[in-house]
Order: sequence, then C-alpha cells, then structure tokens
Amino acid sequence: MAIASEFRFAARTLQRNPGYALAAVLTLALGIGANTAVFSVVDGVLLRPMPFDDMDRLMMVWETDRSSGTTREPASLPDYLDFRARSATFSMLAGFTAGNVNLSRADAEPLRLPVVSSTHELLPLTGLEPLLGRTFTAAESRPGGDRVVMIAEGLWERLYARDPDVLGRSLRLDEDEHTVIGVIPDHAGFGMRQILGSAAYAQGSTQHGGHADVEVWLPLQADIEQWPRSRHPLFVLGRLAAGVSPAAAQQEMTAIAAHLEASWSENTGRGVYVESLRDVVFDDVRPALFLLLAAVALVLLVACANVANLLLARGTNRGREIAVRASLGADGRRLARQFLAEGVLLALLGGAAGVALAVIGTDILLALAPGGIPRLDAVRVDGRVLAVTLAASVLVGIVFGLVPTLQARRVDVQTALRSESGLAGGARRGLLQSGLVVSELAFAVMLVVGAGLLLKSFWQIQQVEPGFRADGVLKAEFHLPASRYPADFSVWPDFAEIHRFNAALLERTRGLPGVEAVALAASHPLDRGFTNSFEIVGREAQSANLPEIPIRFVTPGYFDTVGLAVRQGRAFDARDGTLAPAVALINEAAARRLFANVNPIGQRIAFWGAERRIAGVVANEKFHGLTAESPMAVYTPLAQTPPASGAEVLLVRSASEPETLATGVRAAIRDIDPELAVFGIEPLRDTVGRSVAQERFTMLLLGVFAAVAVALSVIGIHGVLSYLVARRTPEIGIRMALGARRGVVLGMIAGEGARLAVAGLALGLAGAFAATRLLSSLLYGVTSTDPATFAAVAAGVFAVAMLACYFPARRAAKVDPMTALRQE
Amino acid sequence: MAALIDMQNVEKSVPQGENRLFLLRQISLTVPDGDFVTLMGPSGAGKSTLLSILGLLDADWNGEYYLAGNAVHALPQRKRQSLTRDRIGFIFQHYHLLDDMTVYENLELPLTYRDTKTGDRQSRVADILDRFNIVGKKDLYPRQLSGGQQQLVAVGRAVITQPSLILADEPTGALHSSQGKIIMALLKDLNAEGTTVIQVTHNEDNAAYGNRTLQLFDGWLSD
Repeated sequence: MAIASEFRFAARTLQRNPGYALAAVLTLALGIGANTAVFSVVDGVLLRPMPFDDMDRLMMVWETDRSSGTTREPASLPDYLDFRARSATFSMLAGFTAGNVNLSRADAEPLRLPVVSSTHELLPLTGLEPLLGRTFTAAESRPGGDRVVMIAEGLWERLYARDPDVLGRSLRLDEDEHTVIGVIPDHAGFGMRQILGSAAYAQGSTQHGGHADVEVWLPLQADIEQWPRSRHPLFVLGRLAAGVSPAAAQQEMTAIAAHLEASWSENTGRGVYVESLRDVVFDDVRPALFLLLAAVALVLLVACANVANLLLARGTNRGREIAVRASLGADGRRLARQFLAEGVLLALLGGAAGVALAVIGTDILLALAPGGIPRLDAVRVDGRVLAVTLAASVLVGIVFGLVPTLQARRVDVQTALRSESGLAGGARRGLLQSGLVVSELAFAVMLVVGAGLLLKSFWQIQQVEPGFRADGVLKAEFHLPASRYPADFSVWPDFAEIHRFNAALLERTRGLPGVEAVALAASHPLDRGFTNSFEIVGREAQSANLPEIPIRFVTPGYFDTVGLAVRQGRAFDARDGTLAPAVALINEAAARRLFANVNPIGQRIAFWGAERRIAGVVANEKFHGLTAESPMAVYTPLAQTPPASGAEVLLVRSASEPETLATGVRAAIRDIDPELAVFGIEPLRDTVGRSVAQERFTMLLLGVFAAVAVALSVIGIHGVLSYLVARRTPEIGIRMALGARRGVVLGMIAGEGARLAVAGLALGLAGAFAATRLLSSLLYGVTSTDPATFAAVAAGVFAVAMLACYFPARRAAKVDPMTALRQE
Repeated sequence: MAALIDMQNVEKSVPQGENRLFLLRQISLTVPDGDFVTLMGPSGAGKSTLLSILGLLDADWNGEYYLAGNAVHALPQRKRQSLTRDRIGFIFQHYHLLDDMTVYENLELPLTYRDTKTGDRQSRVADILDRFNIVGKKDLYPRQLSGGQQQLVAVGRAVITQPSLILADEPTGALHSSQGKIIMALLKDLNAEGTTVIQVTHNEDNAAYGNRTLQLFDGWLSD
C-alpha cells in the first residue's frame, strides 16, 4: 500500500501545485527530450549492432602516396591482385568501384542508379547473405563473365513490389542486358558513401549523382589490360584472418607494397595504409555526435539544476509538512520514500513529455542531418531508446527525491511546528539555490562558447574564397552510355559520338532564354574528380617525386560560367579542338610549385601519352571542400580529353534564378538523347551548401541547445532573485523605512544577481577553456580558445543575466515599507 | 500510580556568543500515568521547549528522562523515534494538518507510519470519524474546514494511534472560546479514559481542565 499511496499523494501534490508542476515537467521535458533525440541518433548511428559480421576485423586497404602525402588512395587492379595473392594476414580481400548506371525501362523514364562493381569476395566478406538468390561467383567476376546483377532490397520493392520471381529477369543497364541473380539487403551498401568520401580522390566519378544508397551491384569484370598499374580506381576491403591484429596486417602489407615498389616503376612512392572500416565510416561523424551528446547532457544538467531550484523554493513551504510528518512518527526512511516518489513521478512525467518532444525532435534532426552521416535509417525512438530515457528519468527523479530529503534532515521540527508557516532554514537554502544557479550559468556558458566557436568557424568557412562563383549557376549531370557513346581508345581523343552530343547540347543550352554562359565538364566545382600522375617535359627525373594532380576536363565556357579567373595567358577557345595541338591550363598553386622561377606559359606537361602546352594560369579552385587548401590542378579541353566513363556535368550561368532553367536544361538534354537519365539538377550554390552541411548541422544544434540552456539559466537566476526578494522583503521594508532610496535597493538586489552571474561566468569560461579543446577538430579558422568569442559570450551572457535580475530588483525597489513590516 | 514520565535535572541550553543561554534549568518532573498536567508561564519561559523534549522531538539536552520506563537520555535516535510512534500524540496550536490530504488521509497518516494493516487502519479511522462526529467531512481538505473542525481532526489524528501520552501545545490558541471548550472537553474525556495529557496554555480556564498546574519562569520549574 505504502508505495502506491506515496505515488498517489505525490500525484495530488503536483496536481495542487500546477504552476510548479508544469514548470518542472516542461523544464525536464526539454532536457530529457533533447537527450532522447540526440541519443536516438547516436544509438542508431554508432551504438546499434553493425550490419556486418565482426565489423572490427574489416579493414580498408588504402594505397598511400609519399610524394603527395595522401594516405587514403584507391589501389590499382594489379596491386589489388598482388595483395590478394600474397597476403596471409587477410582471409579475404575484395576490390570494388562505385559509380552510377542507367537503367532503361520500356515504359518509363530511364533511372540513374548508384552502382557498386565488385569482385566476388565483397559480400561474403561482410558476412551478409542475399535475401533472395545468390551472390557473384568467381567466374562471373572475371572479364568476359556473364552479365549478371544483384539488386538492393529497396530497388526490388520499388521496381518489382518484392516479387520473388525477380530472379532470372533481365535489367537493361547502360544499354546492356543483365540477369538478376540475387536480392541483397539495403544495408549491404553500409559505409560506401564514407569510403568514397574519405578517399583522396575517387576515380570513376563516384561523387556524381549525390547521395543515394547503392541499389545495383555488378561483378567487377575488370581487365588488367584496361586497368593498368598506373590507374588507381579500386577500393580494397579486407577481412583480417583469425588471430591477426591490424598492426600485423599493416606490417605485412607494408612489406608487400615495398616489394611492389621495387618491382614496378608505377609504384614509386606508393605504400599501404590499413585502416579499420569502422574508423573510416565513423571518424568524421563521431566527434560531432559526441559533442552533441555532451551538449544535451549539459542541457539536462541545467534543466535538473533548475528543477532542483524549484524543489528548493517549494521546500521553503514544506518545512511545516516535514515537521508534522516527523511528529506523527515518520522517520527519515519514510520521508525519503515519499520525496523519492514525488521526484520519480515528476521525472517520469518530464520523461513522458520529453519523449513526445524527442519524437518530433528526432524527425527534425533527421531532416536537418547531412547526407554523410551513416545509418540514419536506423535512427528511431524505440523501446531501446525509451529504456534509456526511462532509466535517465528515474535516475533524475531519485536525485530530485534526494533534494527535499536532505532538506528534511535540516528542518528544525520545533521551530517549524511553533510557527504557522513552517518557514525555516532560508539562508542555507538560499546559498544552495545560488550554487545551483551558478552551476546552471556555468554549463550554459560552456555551451554558448562552444556554439559561438562553431558559429564563428562556420562564418569563416562562408568567407572562404572558393575560386569560383556558385551564385546563378545551375548544374545538371548525366552519363553517356558506352553502347551509344563508345570510348574507342584506338581513336582517342576523337570520340565522335561524345563530341557530337556535347556540341549539340552546348548549342541548344546556349539558346535557352536567360542563359549567360554554358559549359560542359567531367566534374563540377568541389567534385574531387580525376587525378593522374604527370611529367614536366624537360624535367622528367624530377617529376617522379610529384604527386598525382587533379585534372578537370572542361569546355572553353567553363571559366566564364563558374567565374574562375584567368590570371595569365588565355582560357580555352575554339582553337583547342579535338585534333588541335594539346593544351592545358594550370592553376596558381601548380604554377607556384612547378614553375616558381619560370614563366609557365609555353611550358609543357605530359600525361596520357601526350605533351600539353600550358596556355594559361587560372585562379585556385577548391577541390576537397571549402576548408581544404586548393591543390595543384590542371584543366584540359573536353574536346581533347573526353571522359571515357561518359560522366558529364552541364553548367549553366543564368541572369535570373538558376532554378528557372531546370526544365529547359532537362528538355535540352532529352531532345538530343531521350534515353539519358538526368540527375543532380540543382543550383551550384546548393551543392556548395551541402558541402558544409555537417558543419551547419552541428552549429545549428549546438546553438539551439545553448539557447535552451541560457533560457533555463535566466529563468533560474530570475527565480533565485525572486526568492531572495521574497525572503528579504521585511528587511527591505526596514531599510526603506530607515531611508534607503529605491536605487539603493535596486542596486542591492541587482548586485546579488551580478555576483551570481560573475561566478557562473568565471566557472563557465574556465570550463569552456578546458572543454572546447575537444572541439578543435570541428573548427576552421578559429582556435578553440578564441579570445574574441570568449569575450563576446561573457558580455552577452552577463547582459542577459542582468536583464533577468532587473525584474526582481525592480520588484524589491517597489516594496511598500508598511506592508513589508506588517509581514515581519 | 506508576510514573509515565520521570525527568531528573534536565537542562537545555543554546550557544550565545562565547557563553550558553539556558532555556531550561534543572527540570525534575514526575508525571504519573493518567495525569493531566498544565504547563503555564510567560512567553519565553521554556514551556514549548520542555514540551518538545517530553515529546522526544529535541534530543539536545542534558539530564535524565525516563518515559514509560525507557531511559530516553540513553536511547539512540531510531529508538527514540520508535518510542514517539508507540507512545505519543501531538496536538498543535496551528493544527498542522497536511493541506494536500483529506480529513480521512490526515487521520490515516500516523497509522501508515506505524505499518498498521489496511483493514485495521480503516476501522480505526472510521471509529475516530464516528467518535468526533466528522464522518461527513472525511473527504474534505483542511482548508474546507473551520478552525475548530481542523483542530478536532488534529486531536483525532493525535489519538488514533492510542498513545499513552498526549502533548498539546496551546491546543485552543487559534480557536474562539466555544470551539476551545469543545476541544478541552475532548481532552478531558481522553484523560478520563486513561490517556496522560500534558498541555501548554496561557489560559487559566483551560488550565482548570487539568489535575495540576506547573509554572515555568526563565527555564525554572515550580509547582
């Protein structure tokens, strides 16, 4: 009975104090809701069981390049085959590439689908079983093998409504018929985006098509003749053999790489870096998620401190109740049980409201989350998350139960029973309340400093000069299938069908109303695109130590369209046709590094079997996101270097909003080739915006949490001062009766508030100084101890805190001495 | 008659600067079982302090105090609480009913603290409601009652555990005279049934309900 009656009484107590109950429940709901929402994301992304068996034994085997200093490069096919043949530390090694493929449909528009082409080891290596059918055989993975395809569960649903008879059906992919042999879970593509995104470059235009999950799986069927040792398109994933440590694997692979380097000139400077797949997938996102988790934990602490303050204030009126209960025979255990019931009930109500907030908050988080966060589809507020919330709520409730329990120990029963109100122990309680407010402010200041640093960092990113002007530019991507646009290397670079298509598209697009400039390229700004090794003609020996260089294949209009300035020489023009002398432009970074003491114009660089005369120098364009230094880069005329993969981007500069051109651009492409799937149509500024989506996401969330913490702290400081004023009203009355002016009283109360604010600020700034170092990896252009941010936060929070002090101080100044003295 | 209370040389003091301020001096008091004692004296004489010590609410004093043969001065805190629960009922000037509980629940509360079984609890609360003629008020909250009715409930709450000692601190102090008479008559009845009563009062009329009156002046007790 006892427990039930404690809860019944607790419920009634809350019911009879609706203002207090509402304030406490809402405050807790904010804290618990924010924690539940962020925890659901952290749980879904990081904590739930990984989709692959024994994930910690899966390793990416990257190639490294000593000359460029890059550590995450794909491998060449021959290197992969050597790794596979020689390694004893890996039980399996799989190679794969990623890109997009056109799915032609008889009665509908073609679809552009993300594809992974892999050796037959890939799926067995992950431990995943097909939902239907089988995976590739070794024979199917060899050049000339059967044209077979596995499709992901989502595509199976989308195209075939989960028809089990899908096996054996034919899919027309890039103009070739492929037989469906299996359906595999969607999460087979787990980590693929992060693998591609973390690579120093991703040959095969993996960035094209953006962010969809892998839907089509093809056998790699790579021919060593076409995939020589100088090309590095292949990602290698391995499973460590039983009992082998990553360090042992690294040691073995380093030895194999050294042997290959000694054997093949193409491997000069190349090594191997064995890295846990888990790190590749989660390294980028882990710090931000843990930061957010820490932030919401601070919000919860602030909320708890606030509710504890409410409890303390309420406890002021409970001295009598405690004393009466004690006189009626309640011992400490009984009192503790009752207060625990109240605390737990309060926290459970807060938790329930928090879960409601969390469900909404999680949806908002998922909507705002950048595409690069893995496993967002696993994020949900489910029983597991609710169990954690329940545990957190009960824990919080127990803490809240302890507050009045500790208070009860200090109640002077005799004094409380003698007085009508039972008020007792005010000064000590005031001290505790002040301590809680100081803590709240300190936590809030830490959050605001963190948010301020991220805000400043984001602002710095916005100020980065990307080298191009994204405003006013529309981007549209497509892929020319080899079946109709053959890349016959015997006539390289005269791929007539591709050139014909390009010329027609440029002409048609130029004719669209509002178009100011138009260009075609193999990759768009901020796309890492292709890299290749190269030589400076006349300095061949020195060239061996040069890193691979990003190469942009562009039509002459590229520079005008994206606003990339020509610094020296000339841009491409009509002279630079397919059969004209090969030319190239380099950027300023390349000019500085390669031709520091000579005029680069007229110099020649060589790659893909041709010497190319440098016709001009252009400004530095960002390749690896806004925050990374612009690398050396080369531009070649698309006419002289058509993309063998068929992947192209149309870039159109418009006088009006670029979105208005989308329909016209889509129609222009379709008019020339109705079977082409056009994708990634968006203003270039959206592409740029997406490149900083994670920074924006972290900044926004931390900003919201900091704002909530500040709001709660302000409520806290207001509450404490209000309590102070109420407690000291008789004293204030006496002071005023003795002649104190209102200004003096105002100053007295505001001074109390200022003392709390200064103490909270000092602690918070010290805490932030220590804690923001953890933010370093998320900051750009600002240090984690940026004095300006610290000073601005200090000034801002102090001002807000003083504003919160003003109202109780004004109330104190308006105390009527006679009324106050009667109260005494 | 056996002594329910036997107090020898009890002193109570509190620090005042470097010295101590004595609130009670060398209190020696014997109260037989079934007695009705009135404590009187001016404000600050130590009446309520003595009542708190008698009720085991105050443990910070010197001397010897035996309650029903138990050496209170030698008992640990837990045992004192247990003795309070077993032996003592309190009545306060300001009633001190719990605002968020109904009359029924206020009456029931001391029994729950004594782990009384549900059935027993219900019957004892029903008895008190009947006896004090407040059955119709059982679902009301204290603020819905007059001062006299509240004190009636407070007396009911004090006696529901059938204590051998009732300590009443100005039980009629907040009531008008007619209500005060009802309460005092009730206390007299309880005493007649064998319950020992010690009351603190300033009111001579109320003192007359007792068997004897003790005077306190500046912490000193005199007959």
